[in-house]
Amino acid sequence: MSVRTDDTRQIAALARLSFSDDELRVLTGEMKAILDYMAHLSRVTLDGVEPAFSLLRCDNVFREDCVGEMLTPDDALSNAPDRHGDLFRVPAFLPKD
Amino acid sequence: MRVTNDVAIGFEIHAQLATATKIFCACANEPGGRPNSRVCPVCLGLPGALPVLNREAVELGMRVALALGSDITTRSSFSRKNYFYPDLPKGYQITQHWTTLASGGHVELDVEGTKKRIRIRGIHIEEDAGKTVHTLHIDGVCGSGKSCDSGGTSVSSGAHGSSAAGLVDMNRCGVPLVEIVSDPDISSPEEADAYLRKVHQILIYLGVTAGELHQGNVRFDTNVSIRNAGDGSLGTPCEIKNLNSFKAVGKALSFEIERQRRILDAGGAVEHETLLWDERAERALPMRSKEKACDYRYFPEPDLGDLVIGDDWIDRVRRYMPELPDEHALRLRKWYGLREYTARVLTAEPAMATYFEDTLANLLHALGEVPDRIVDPAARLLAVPFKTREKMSVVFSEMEDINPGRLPELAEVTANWVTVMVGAWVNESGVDLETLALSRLPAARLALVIAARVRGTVNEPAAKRLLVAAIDSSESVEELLERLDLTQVTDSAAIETLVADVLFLHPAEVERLRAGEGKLLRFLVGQVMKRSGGKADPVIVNDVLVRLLGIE
Amino acid sequence: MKLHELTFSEIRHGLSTGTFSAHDLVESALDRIESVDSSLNAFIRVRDRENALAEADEIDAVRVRGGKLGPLAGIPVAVKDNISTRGLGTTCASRILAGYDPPYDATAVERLRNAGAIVVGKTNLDEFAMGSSNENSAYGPVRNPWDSNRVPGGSSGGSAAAVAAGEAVLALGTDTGGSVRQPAGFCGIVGVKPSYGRVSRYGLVAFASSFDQIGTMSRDVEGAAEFLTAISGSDHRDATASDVDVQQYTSPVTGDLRGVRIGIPQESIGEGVDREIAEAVQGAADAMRSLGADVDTLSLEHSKYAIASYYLIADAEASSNLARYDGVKYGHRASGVGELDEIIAKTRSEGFGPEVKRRIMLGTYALAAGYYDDYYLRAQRVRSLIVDDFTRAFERFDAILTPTSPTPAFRLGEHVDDPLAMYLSDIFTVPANLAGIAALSMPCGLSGAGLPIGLQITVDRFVEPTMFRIAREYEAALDLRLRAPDVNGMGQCG
Repeated sequence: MSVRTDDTRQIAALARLSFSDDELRVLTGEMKAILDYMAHLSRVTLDGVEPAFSLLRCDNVFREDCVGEMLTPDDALSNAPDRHGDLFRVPAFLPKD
Repeated sequence: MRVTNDVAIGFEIHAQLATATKIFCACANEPGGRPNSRVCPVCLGLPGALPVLNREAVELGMRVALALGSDITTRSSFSRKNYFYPDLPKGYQITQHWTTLASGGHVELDVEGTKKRIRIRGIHIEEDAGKTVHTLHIDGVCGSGKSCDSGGTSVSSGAHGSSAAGLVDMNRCGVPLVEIVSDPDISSPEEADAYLRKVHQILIYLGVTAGELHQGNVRFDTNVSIRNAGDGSLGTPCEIKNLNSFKAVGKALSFEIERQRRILDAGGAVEHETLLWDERAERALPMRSKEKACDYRYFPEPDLGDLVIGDDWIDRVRRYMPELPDEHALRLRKWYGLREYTARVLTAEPAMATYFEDTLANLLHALGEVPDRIVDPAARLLAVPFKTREKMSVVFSEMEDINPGRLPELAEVTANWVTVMVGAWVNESGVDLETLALSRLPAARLALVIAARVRGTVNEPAAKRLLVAAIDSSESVEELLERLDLTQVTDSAAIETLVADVLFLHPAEVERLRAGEGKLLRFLVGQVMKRSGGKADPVIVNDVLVRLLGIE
Repeated sequence: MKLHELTFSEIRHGLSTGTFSAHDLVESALDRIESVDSSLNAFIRVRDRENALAEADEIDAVRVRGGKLGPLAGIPVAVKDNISTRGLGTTCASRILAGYDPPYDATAVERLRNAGAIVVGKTNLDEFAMGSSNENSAYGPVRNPWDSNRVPGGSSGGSAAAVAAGEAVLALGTDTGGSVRQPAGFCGIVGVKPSYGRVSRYGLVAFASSFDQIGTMSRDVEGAAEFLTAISGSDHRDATASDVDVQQYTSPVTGDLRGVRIGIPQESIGEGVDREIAEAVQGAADAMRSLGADVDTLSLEHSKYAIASYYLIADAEASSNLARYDGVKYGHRASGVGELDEIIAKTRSEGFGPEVKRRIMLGTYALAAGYYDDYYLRAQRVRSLIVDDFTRAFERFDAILTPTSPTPAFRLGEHVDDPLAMYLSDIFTVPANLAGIAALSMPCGLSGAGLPIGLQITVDRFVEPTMFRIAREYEAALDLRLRAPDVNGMGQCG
């Protein structure tokens, strides 16, 4: 599968990264080389092979419904780049897309 | 009115689960409060923090699944839904995507006498997002804010200028949600309303959610499509998000059906779109441009293991399932001989139905004419939520052969008091019924008020005064009867004197009544009642008037 | 011998006999940092001297009183800067987390403190642990104490260099695809990647959640084992932390490996591996054989697919794990006004370095609609085959021996322009992460150029005791005391 600059541009938008046209061109080349290498996975016969998603994870690990320690608003906001009172402040944005 | 059976409507209902803590961390799950005061590294999405699943959230979800007849999935898993939004601190929402908590099931509707079954596609649990308030920035001062959720986002008109800002409160992040997804089996806004109210009622009965729509405890997304006239296949659906009231759903559906019809009538094709309902403008607006289609890049959540639910666990949850609204209504009819309509009105809210049962039990006790089993404490215990089905069926079978006697009549009277008289007070005062029942008007106290009326100690207007006094004062009902002098006058001689006075004072009306103007009888009754200070028994007054005037 | 040259075992002995105090040790570590770190650049932040010494004094006082002390009492440790430490900052060597100070401690940090260890500073790394050379750091590259023109390996390059150069006795690293073992190999120390779930990940800044594990680094096997014992175990804050019993991983040397079955994959000593490295591994196998171990060859058929499978899964998870860095709650935010989407993109583009961006791009691609099945899902299925290979291998063998890396430490800049070549250098380390099993790297000799060669011992999941046993016996038999050349003068050749 060949990666084109347009694909890279679209992926960058999805990942919220911005690149100059030059950067995009270089990145597209690098991604192409890496993905070409990854493509050798398509040579593996995978009939009946399940993905290893939950291989190492334990089933049914729960927390009981008891209230624990919480941060104070000041601790919660201590690293915020911008705040307004007890709230995080961010620049203007559109409703969820 | 158009025929609407060509419309296919489905819903995604999100309900916040009433757990003590959030779904993946130990922060308190409560509404309101100081912003960003109920957060921790986990729900704030701090680097390095990890989710651990709240068992109670799973069990509340299981309760919903069992109530809707869904099959609980033996092995379900969690996934990440990736998207950027300021009130989504991790940049992804932990939800269930490929294998959900439960699938299948249905909701039985009764729309104007017609039964209809709405199929449930699936039920899953997930985390809620935070809340953003959009503000207009004027000279560095925050202007009026408008709340906006990414869980069901609202359009913030006029706040998109470069000087605008968003203020984010993460308290709601990680509040557990159950999402109920239906098939597009609904064919009109009326059915939609019935479906949503029914599901809401069930959720309240289950005790799984606070259920306040205006608080955003329950939120709706809908998808609407119009079937092809030819082969009846489903057309392209559009989704409408951000519906926070039954009323908004009705308006949005009418708006969208109309919009799609106009497109189709003009020979056009409906394009798949996600629309956002703007409550103020009463219209749905496209949420995202088409070239910016979203791609949530779901993948299995590596921080959480699978959720494995065996029969043992399901049985345990089933054993503690509360009574459901339909079961409750049926039991009210069986036990007390209530009419179907009354039973349905009472079971609109479990608090009301429970209050009714408590009040009735106390009333029967006060009147001393009860089959013992009804006031048996064990049986009464069964009348509150969280009873077991097994126990209930035993009681049912014992009840079958009891002679109801005056019970159905007293039950209807009590229902009327609870829904109408107390209901009016509740509406006016804004105090909710549960609070009232727990504090100023316990069921036993209401029962004494009703008993006074049933025994004829007070007449209807006096009974209403007695109710208000019983709520407002801490005196006993007997003391109130005495102090307010509400006891009904039933002495015929005393009433005859009052009637004679009235006839003397209103000769013209008496003349016209005799001439056939029948409605004046009510006027004269009213005058007698007035002179009695409202205390005369209006039935006796009526009888005496008729007798003394010699009319039919 | 100077304090900073002693191994953990020697230090513990010296502490218990009163030869020196915790105060002396902490002072020695901080002095060492002061004198050599300007050349090494192993630390991003160093602990305030007074605070650290006060902690040491408390421990010395308890010791004098004869009170109860933890197993790591008074030991100076370094913590990789992607592990959360309250009050000490945590940057992941990224601009995007500049100035971030977590309001909580990682579980592993809590536990090392409970064991009495004293944190002396936070170590440099490849940004967000993405890299094999420690060149991808917003704080500049770390240099190898053995040769300042060479990389220390990565991503735990700072921790490895710090331990090798005596700036700390022990260090925490993190290992997602070899990030503890490869730098341990390059710097001539012992580095352990425990089984997945052995150590709580709570507080470890996630790169690839399925693979990330906190590991221990020491100049001897004993230190790595004691440190791991102290930080292992279940944690109610990490659902992936296992409740399998933690064993005491230290024990005395017996001089005996009889009954231990050791396998060497043919692929690991063949093509693409430096000859002197293959020979060193063979030498280690011979040494083990002479201790009584049974050594045989085996084949891990699908290991040639490990790199592709690993990078697709790791980058996919990373693309999601790194979505939280949007400049809303913490860290860097781009200046200027505009739509939030643009500010977030600008924030992330300014905040992340090129390798991190490349990985986010690859990971986003692997999960995107239309590519998920061909990339992410396929990688997860291939991973199953790799796991099966190990399952079969561990039916026949107790441990698998390979080189840690196909080459010794390479030169700074050698792979900078070829990310794929850099990825391929992880060929021997990523399989253990894919399978969630435990592996350890320890020195097994020096190359012709005088650089340490790492030997990797891999065991099945939660069989760490066998891994430490083999390592301990081999270490004792080899009697190879590797000491990095004095780095005091490194500034000139760097």
